[in-house]
This record gives sequence, C-alpha cells and structure tokens, in this order.
Amino acid sequence: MSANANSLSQYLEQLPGTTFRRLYLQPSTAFAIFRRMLPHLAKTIVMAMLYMPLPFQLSDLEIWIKPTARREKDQAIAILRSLHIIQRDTPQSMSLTPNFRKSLRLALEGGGDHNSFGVPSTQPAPPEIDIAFLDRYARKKWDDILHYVVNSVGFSSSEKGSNGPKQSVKDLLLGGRLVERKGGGLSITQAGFTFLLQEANAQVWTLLLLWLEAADVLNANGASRAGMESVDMLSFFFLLASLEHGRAYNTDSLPEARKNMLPTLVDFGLIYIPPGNSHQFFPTRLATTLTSSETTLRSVSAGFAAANNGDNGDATQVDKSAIILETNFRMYAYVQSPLQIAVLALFSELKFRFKGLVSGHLTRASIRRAVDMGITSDQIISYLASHAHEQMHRVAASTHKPLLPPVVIDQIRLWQLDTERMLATQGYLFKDFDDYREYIEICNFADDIGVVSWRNDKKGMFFANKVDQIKDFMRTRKKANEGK
Amino acid sequence: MFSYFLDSLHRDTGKLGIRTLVECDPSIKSIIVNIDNDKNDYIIEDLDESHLLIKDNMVSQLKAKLEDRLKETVPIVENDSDSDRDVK
Repeated sequence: MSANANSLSQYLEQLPGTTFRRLYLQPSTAFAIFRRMLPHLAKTIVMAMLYMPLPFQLSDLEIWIKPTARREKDQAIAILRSLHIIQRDTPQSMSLTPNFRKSLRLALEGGGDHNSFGVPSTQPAPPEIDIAFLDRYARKKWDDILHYVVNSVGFSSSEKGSNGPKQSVKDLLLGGRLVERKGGGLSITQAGFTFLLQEANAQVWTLLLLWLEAADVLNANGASRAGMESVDMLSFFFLLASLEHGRAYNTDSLPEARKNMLPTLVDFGLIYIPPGNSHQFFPTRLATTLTSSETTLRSVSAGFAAANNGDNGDATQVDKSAIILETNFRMYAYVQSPLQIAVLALFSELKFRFKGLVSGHLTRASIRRAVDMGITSDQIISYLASHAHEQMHRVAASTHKPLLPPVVIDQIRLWQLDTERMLATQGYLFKDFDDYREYIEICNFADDIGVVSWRNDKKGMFFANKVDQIKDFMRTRKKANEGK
Repeated sequence: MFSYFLDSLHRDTGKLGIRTLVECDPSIKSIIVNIDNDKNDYIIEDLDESHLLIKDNMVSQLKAKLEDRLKETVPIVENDSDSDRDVK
C-alpha cells in the first residue's frame, strides 16, 4: 500500500465510531474503504460475512485460516475493527456493522435512491472536453501547486504564464506547514519536501486531509459560513473517487454543502466546471483515482518534469535519462528546469552549472542535510535510478552490472545510518506478569497483531507500540479466566 | 492480581504517559548511560545490551546530547567520498 493509504488510514483511525456509522451510510464510502483500505485477506473475510444471516463464530474463522497464517488473520481483524467494519457481538462471535453491511450490499447490487455514485448530467457535454483535455487541465492545476511549493526553495520561477494556485490553496499549504513564511519570503518545510517526493495520489490526499482539518478548525470556531462538515466532505471525496473519468455529472443534485465545496475542488484540479455551464462538472483523473491503487497522472519523477514543461503533453518523454552517476560520487545531470535542479540540490553539492547540464558531488554533508530534512536514502536512490541516463542503462546492460554504482548506493545508505545512531519507538512496556503463561499468551497475541517492538522471554517483559487491542485482549482473557 | 496489572497499565498510560524504547548499538548505549549518569533524568529502565527505556519527553534532548558527544569523539572526515579532488 502506498503512502497515501498510510496518511489516510492514520486519519481514519483516530475518528470515533459514530463518525464511521455516518460515513458508512453512503454506499460509495463503504465501497471505497473496502477497495482501498483493506488487505486481501480482510476483503475475503468481509465478502464471506456480507450475506451471513447470523453472527460469525470466531471458531469457524479459525478453521478457514491455515494455522501458518494466524498473524495475517489477526492483522486483518485488527484493521477491520479499527475501521469499525466488524464488531464483536459476544466474545466468541462477530458481525459486520449494520451500516457498512447495508451500504456495501447496495453498492454491489445497485438499487436505492441514495445517489451515492453521482448523478450523470443529462445535458450534452461540450465536444472539446475529452479525457486528454481533462488530463491536461488537472496536470496544469496540480503543477501550479507543486511549483508554488518548490519555488519557496528559492529558485524563482521563470514561467510568467502561470500565476500560481489560488489564495485559498496557498493558505492551506501555509496552514499545513508545507511552506512557511520567513522574513517576507516563503520557505519550504520538512513536511513540504516529503510532500514533493510523494506520488501524485498521495499528494492529493495530503492536501485533502489538510483541507478537512482546516474545515474542522473553522467549525470549532463557529466561523464556517459554508456549512461544510468534515464527515460529509470525506464522503464526498469518496463519491468523487467512484465517478467515471471523462463524464459529465449534474451539480444540481448535490446538496448545498457539497456545492460549496466545488470551487475549492476546482482550485485543486480535481474537477472541471465548463465556464458557460455551472450545472455540469467533470471529475478529472486526480479525483477518479483517489481510491484506486493505480498510479494517477504520473510518477513522482515524471511529475517534476511535467511541472516545468507545462502543457507539453506526455510528461514522461521529456524527463527520462538525465543523470549520470560515477563511482567517484560525481554526478552529471542533463537538466534544464529550475525545479529539477532544486530537487538535485536537495541531496547533492552542485559545483558547476552550464546550459543544460549541472554537475555536482554526493557527499556525506549533502546526504546528511537531505536526511535531516526528512528525505530518506531510499527516496534519493530511487530518484537517481529512475532518472539514470540512457548511457548508464546501456553500460549496465552490456556489463551485466547494476544500474547505479553499488559503492555509491551503499555509501548513501551508510551515511543515512550514521545519522540514526539510536532508533526511538514510542509505546508501553509490559512487565510484572503474574506468571509466565500469562506473559507468553499476551505477548504472543501482541506479536501476532504486529505491535511488539521488543521482547525478552527470560525477563518476562515486552514493549508494544500500540496498546488498545492488547487491553481488549487482556480484558477478555481475564473474563474467560474468571469464568473458569 | 490480574486487576492489579490492568490498573497499573492504566496508571502507566495515564499518569506517566507514553514511554520510548530506544534501540542502539552497545557502544552507543554506553554513551547514553554515561550521559544519564550526570542527573539520571533520561533512562527509566535498562532492558538489555542494546535496548533502553527512556522518558518520552526527553528523547529529543537526548538525541541532541548524543550528537554532541559523537562530534567530540568521532572525527568528521570532510570529502571522504571523493578520490580525485576538484580545485576549490
């Protein structure tokens, strides 16, 4: 699962159960969560339970799952519970939560008048709006936003044609601390760098979640005029994700609060509204791929190129094969754009700049600086690999050697390790168990759901980074013991 | 007995707050122990040769102190990556 699923699942995990009950009223939301957030085994379990008339006995589940896959089973159940998809009826049985069950059935079977998957517009769509047009439009909008973030590094934009994203989007980036104001100018933050190196899909989610949080703050202050509410906003995102790319949808069928969201979504490039006709909107690829795992407009690397080449069409063509990396840690990059040079400057020491070529070194200091900003060695290596020059590919293929010099790659990793002399994990220490059996049962359970970071069977202690489900387990275990 | 443990868990999570497990090489651990010897305000429990339990609010401070110590003891070699030098 990619990074966006992580930030989204973190956001979802901290929502209360009541919020989930409301979210799952919408079939599109239930379906989106089902297809995006669940590992395969969890999906299988949900599908199996979907049409069960009675609660599912845990003992039956044990029979279905091979003993060797216990860990996977426990993790799947843990995810399902944290997303409030299943509930325990009794200690020995579980069932799908009613709203989720109903909505997922509706999503699969069709029917109902929930309009949860959008209402297609009956008016004819303007002929010039086709998929290519929408892709161009979305890319332009998104690149404006990326540009704004990158330009804060200090490489002024040479492009005069684009006037950057709307003020509201800028405020959001500022509020989310992707960029911050410093002495009149803007400067990018560590979170901003991480944002830049993310995949487009993850970037969109980052921005949407920032928007949700901003709306929550507004609501808490009672200052919201638009009447936007984060639960409704979230389910609208999931609705957008279920729409068909390149098709016109009806804005009139949307409730007032959602209509108020449309202008901001236009600013993000998630939807397009034809200038002469505000009764229609077109979802772009950024919106329709929100909950699918396929890559959106392009990969990160291609994104950097596209940001500079604006509407030149196929972004991937412009960007590939630019960097030569030598075993002596020197790097030559055939790049033009300030954006790409800015990215290279993040992790290398640039020495010379010519027209169409920059050269520099990878040094301990430069990698360290990058790591301090929150860029990982793997990100750097994958950036170098995906941008390697054709010649590098040719040499690697003819000599049967790896694409990038292993000595450099290892050294980059070692330099990063240098900065991480200690690895800190937050969590709780469990100790002073009554007896060894108690320790081993609880510790094994915690290990199976994947939350144990350290254990010492001799001392009878373990350290867990999440504690909620262990508490549940201990409570049920205690009850079971009392019953004996 | 068991309820005592649950209570202690609640007390742990409630009052003392979340803790931090630090994993490091034995050599680094000895430096941390040495830093802690001054005031004993970092380490809660010494778990084994490569693990320590640290007060959660002290982690960033400890990291900074460790960096300082390492700077004193480990020499930083400039330009150790390059065999043929450019004219600076």
